[in-house]
Amino acid sequence: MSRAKVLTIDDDRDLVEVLRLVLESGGYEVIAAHDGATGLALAQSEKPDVILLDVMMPSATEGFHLVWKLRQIEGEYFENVPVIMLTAIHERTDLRFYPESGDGTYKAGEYLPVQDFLDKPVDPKALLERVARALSASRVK
Amino acid sequence: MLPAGEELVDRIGWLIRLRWLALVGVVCGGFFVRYALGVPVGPWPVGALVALLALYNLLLAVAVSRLRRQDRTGTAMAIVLAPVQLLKLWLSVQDLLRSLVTAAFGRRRGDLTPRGRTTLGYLLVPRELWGMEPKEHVFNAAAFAGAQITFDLFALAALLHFSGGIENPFIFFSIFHVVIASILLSREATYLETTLGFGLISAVGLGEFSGLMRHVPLGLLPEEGAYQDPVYVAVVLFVLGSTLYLTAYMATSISAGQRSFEREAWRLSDDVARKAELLEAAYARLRQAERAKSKQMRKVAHELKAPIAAVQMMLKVLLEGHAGEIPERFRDLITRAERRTRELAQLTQDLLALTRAREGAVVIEILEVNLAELTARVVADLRDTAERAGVALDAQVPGDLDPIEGDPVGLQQLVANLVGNAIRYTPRGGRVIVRLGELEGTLRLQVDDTGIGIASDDLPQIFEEFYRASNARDYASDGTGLGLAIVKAVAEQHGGSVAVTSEVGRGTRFTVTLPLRGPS
Repeated sequence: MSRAKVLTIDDDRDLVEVLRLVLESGGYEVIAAHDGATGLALAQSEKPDVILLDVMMPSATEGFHLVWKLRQIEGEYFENVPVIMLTAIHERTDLRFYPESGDGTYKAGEYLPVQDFLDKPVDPKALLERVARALSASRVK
Repeated sequence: MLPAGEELVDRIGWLIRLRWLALVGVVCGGFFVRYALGVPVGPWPVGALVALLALYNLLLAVAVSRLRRQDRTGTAMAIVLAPVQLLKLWLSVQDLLRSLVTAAFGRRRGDLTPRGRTTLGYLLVPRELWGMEPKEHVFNAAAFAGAQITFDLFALAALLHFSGGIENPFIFFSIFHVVIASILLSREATYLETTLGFGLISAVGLGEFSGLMRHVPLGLLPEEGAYQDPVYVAVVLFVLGSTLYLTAYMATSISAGQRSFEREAWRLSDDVARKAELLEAAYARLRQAERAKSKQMRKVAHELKAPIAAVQMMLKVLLEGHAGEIPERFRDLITRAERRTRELAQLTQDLLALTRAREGAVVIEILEVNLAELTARVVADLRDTAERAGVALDAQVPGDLDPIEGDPVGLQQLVANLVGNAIRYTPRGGRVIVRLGELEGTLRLQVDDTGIGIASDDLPQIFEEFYRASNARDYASDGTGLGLAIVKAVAEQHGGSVAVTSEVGRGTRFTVTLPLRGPS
C-alpha cells in the first residue's frame, strides 16, 4: 500500500518544514505549497489524500477562499477531500465567514466546509492523530 | 449689551404688567376725580381710550405668553404682527425725528439715511429700533419693545390731552417711559423716545395754547386758563423737557454701566464655554490616541503570534523526537525553552484580548450571548484543571437566563480568567464557587474562592495591566498580569463593572455586573 499523501499549504516556510518533519516521521508523503494559487494547482494535479491548510496571513482570508474555490471544482474528489484548517477559529462558534474579496458565491453566515481544525502551535502528536482520523473518515477512494 | 431673547421677552412682560398698573391708576384716578372731587369726568373720551388701551395690552399679553411657549418666529410672529403693523406707521414719525437728531449731532450713519430704502414699508421702519428687514420674518424683541413704548407715549399724550393737557400734573409720568426705554433699548433709541415723548406733550401744550387743539379742562384748578398763559406753558415745558432729558441721560448711563458688566459676564461665560470645548476636543484626541495605541499594540501582538507559535512547535517537535533522539542534557534546556515560549504565547494572547476589548465595538461583532451557557461551558472546561489542583469547583448557574448583547469571545475570556485565577490561587483542599444570576436588570457573575487572598494594599491596583500582587507572584511564578485587566476591559466594554473583596489567607470574591441590555 502506497503512503498517504498530505498537501501542506502555509506561507510560513519554517512551519511547513516542521510539519513536513512530523508528517514524514509519521510515515506520510508530504508535498508543500507556500501560497494559495500553488496550493490549489497542486491539489488538482497531485490529488493528495489530506490537505493541511493555514488561514494564511496577512490577508487572513486566503485560506478560506482556497477552501471555497476547492469545493467549487467539479468532481467527487474536490467535494470530499479532507481539509484540516490550521487555526483555532472553530472554537469561536459565533464566528461567521465573510469573504472580503470573494466573488459573492458564498453568502455571509455560511460555515467553512472543512473536516477539522487544529490550533497553532500545532502539537505534533495531535497533528498525527488528526491526519490519521481524517484519512480513515475520508470518502475519497 | 442690550437685553436679548428670553430676557427681553420677560421684560416686555414686565412692561405689560406696568401698563395694567397705569390703566388701573387712570381708572381709579378718574373715579376719584369724578366722585370724590365732584368733577364731571365722563366716560368719553378718557374711558374709551382706557378701554382701547386695555384691549391693546391684552393683545400684547397674549402675544407674549405665546412667545414664551413657542419659538419666536412663526405663529407668534403672526399674532404679534397685527398690532405691530399699526405701530410701524407711528414709528415713521420717529424716523423723521431721528433724522433731525442725526442732523443735529452730525452723526450720519449709513442705516439712518433714507438712501437705499426702496419700499415704503422700509421707509417707515426706523431700522435701528425695529431691526427688521421687510423680508426678514425673524422676530425682533427690541423692536417690539420700542414699538410699545412709542405707542405708550402716544397713548399718554392722548390721555393728557383729554384731561386738561399741560395743566395735568401727570405729564411727568412720561419719565417712566424714558426709564423703561433706557432699560430695554439702546442709548440712541432712548433719546429718540424721550424726544418723541417731549415732542408729543409739547405739541399738546402748544396746540392747546395756540387754539389749534380743543382744550379739555381738567376741572381741578380753581381758575381755568393756565394753558393759555405763555409763561406757564414755557415753564412747564422747560421743566418737563429738562427733567426728561436729564432722566434719559442718567438712566442710560446707569444702564450702560450695567450692560458693560453684563457684557463682561457674557465674555467670561463665553470664555468658559470655549475652554470647555477645547478640553473636550483634547479629550477626544486623547481617546483617539489611546485607541491608536491600542490598535498598534494589537498589531504587534498579532505579528508576534505566528513566529512564537512556529518556535513553540519546533521545540515540541524536537522534544517529541520527530527529528530524532536528543541527548538528555539538551532535553532539559529545550523543555525550559518550550515553557518560556508558551508563556510568551500566553502574553501575546492576553495582549490581543486586552486590546480587543479596549478597542471596543470597532473590531468586534456584537451578538446575542447566553451567559449561562457560556459560563457552564467554561466551568466544564476548567473542571480538569481544578481536579488536578485539588480544588472543588462548584457552579450555581441557572438554565434560563435572558441573553445579553455582547462579544462572546471577550465574555468567554472574562469568565475563564476569573474562574481560572480562582482555581490557580486556591491551595489544595480549597473551594471555588461560581454563581450567576439576574438582579434588578443586571446579570451578576460572582466567583468566590478560599484562596490566598489579596492584600488591601494591592487591591486598588490589581486591575492594572501587568500588575501582580506580591503574594500572587510568590505563589505562582508564571502569569502575565493581564488577566484581570482583560476582565475589567471586557466588563466595561459591555457597560458593566467588576468589583473585588478579599481577605489575605481567607479568600477572594470577584463580582461582575453586566447590564441586561448591552452597551448602548
